[in-house]
Amino acid sequence: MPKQSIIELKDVVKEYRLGKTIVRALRGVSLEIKRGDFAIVVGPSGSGKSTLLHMMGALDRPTSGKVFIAGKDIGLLDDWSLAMLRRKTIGFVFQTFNLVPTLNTLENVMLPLEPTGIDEIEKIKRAKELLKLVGLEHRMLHKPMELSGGERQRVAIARALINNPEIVLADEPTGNLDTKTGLQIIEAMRKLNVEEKKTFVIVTHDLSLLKYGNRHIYIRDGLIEKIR
Amino acid sequence: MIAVGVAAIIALTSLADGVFMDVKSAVAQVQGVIVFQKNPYGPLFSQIDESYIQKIERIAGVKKVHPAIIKPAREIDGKPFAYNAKSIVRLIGSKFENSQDKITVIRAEIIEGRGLKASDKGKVVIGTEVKDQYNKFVGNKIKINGKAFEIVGVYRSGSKYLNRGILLQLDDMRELINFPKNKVAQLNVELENPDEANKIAKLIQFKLGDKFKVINSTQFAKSLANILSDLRLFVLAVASLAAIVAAIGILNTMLMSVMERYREIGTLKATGWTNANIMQMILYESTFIGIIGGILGILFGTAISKLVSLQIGMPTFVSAELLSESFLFALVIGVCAGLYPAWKASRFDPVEALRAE
Repeated sequence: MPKQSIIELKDVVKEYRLGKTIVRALRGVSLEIKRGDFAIVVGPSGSGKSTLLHMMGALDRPTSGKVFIAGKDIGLLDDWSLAMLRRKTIGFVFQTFNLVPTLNTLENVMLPLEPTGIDEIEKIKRAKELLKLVGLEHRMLHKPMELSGGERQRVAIARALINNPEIVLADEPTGNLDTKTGLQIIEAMRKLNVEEKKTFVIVTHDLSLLKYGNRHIYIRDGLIEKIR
Repeated sequence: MIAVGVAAIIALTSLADGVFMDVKSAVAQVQGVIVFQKNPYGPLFSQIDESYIQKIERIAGVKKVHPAIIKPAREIDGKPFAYNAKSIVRLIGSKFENSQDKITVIRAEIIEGRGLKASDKGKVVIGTEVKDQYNKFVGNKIKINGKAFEIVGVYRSGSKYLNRGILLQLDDMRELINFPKNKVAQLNVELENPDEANKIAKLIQFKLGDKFKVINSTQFAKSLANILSDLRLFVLAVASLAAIVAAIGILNTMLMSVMERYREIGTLKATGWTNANIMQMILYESTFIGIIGGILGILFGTAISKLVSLQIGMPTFVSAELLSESFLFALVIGVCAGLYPAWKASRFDPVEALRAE
């Protein structure tokens, strides 16, 4: 049975205004991510990788073209509906981890659930399960400052999964880690892809990660160069 | 910052309230009607012939007329007073006729020793404040304006101001301050029915003519209350200014905090927080600052108020109403000062915020 598409971009153009000049970050991108994919997007810096990821994550709307996430055209959604789409469908992992320094590991993982009205005990239960899944159950009460880079990124992965999203988007997840730790993180993600059936889209400029992906998307100057 | 504002409100208002309560009770002690001589120098220089006592006592509804001379003491036990209100002792000269427990002229009670008898000369009854300040007991001597008197009793009235007084016979008083014989400074008219004060005041004024000023003490108390509530309002306005400065402080703090957490707010938005969720979070934080500031302000303000009361001897009154109002004020300031930063944070573009260094 062919895999269903979960993210679809059709002729997406994204322009930014930088002072008086208009920057075309994406210049007509069309691609499809299917359920269960482990897609790696590679390209040099400034190629439009992050903008592409923001489009796929419903953080931004296209200047022209269409972006469908889980069947929804994000160009037609208001801010609230976009936030709800992100909450229910998408998890983010960032290069710089973006953990709240004043909160401990458990609280950081629970953060996306804060506005959901889910019972506190249930929140803690879910967060603990995820921390176990990423191998950090012994670091639950530590603050981000007390964790290593790899541990911080694993906290961020647990945070990205707390809402049980279908899609996890990672922007240079290994960018701030040494090679060995970086590979451990990618392997952890791959495991979640296989075992938890999550769709992963990973943006990187590190070509050595390509071997983990089942789909390789090459981007350059705001255009898709090739897809394998 | 907000704590300082709330503390200022509480300290200043409690002081105004304290003075208000005390003056009000002092005035309430002197019920009925008071007669002064009208003269260009004001009631302080009033002189009335004693013969008017009988004239007024003949008016229907008048129970008794108490002549009085009330002047501040120049020195007690050789220590002169500086001219400030906080420590001044009032000498109250009147015709005290028996040693009864009640002293009608200022509505006080004798709590130690006895009251003054008509035959007493060189004897005084002191107020509780004087007793405490000079550490005196019944039987001790007290030197007033250089002359020694024997203390025969201690009185207490409902007012701290009036308790800072010394009662003595009119003749002693006249001698002490060189007041003309057969003259008194004021006539306190005791009424059969205190409710008729207004009517009888008018009657006395009519009988005595323009040379006298007749004051109905209830009316006097009313106008005094008006002045004092204006004073309270003024004090509140001054203190509120401090609180507004505090509000700007919170606003600034919250704005700084929001800008510093630009990236964090971007992350929250990426994980599905709505604009309203972000706004709520910032508002909670500023409200929390308001609550903490309110609690600290109440503690500091009450402490300052007590300290002022102890150190300067000014009466202060911290009412439950004042405390709850100040707390509510801090809370409202917290919420209001958080509104703009909360709105600003909720409008952050998540993409921009995530890109920020």
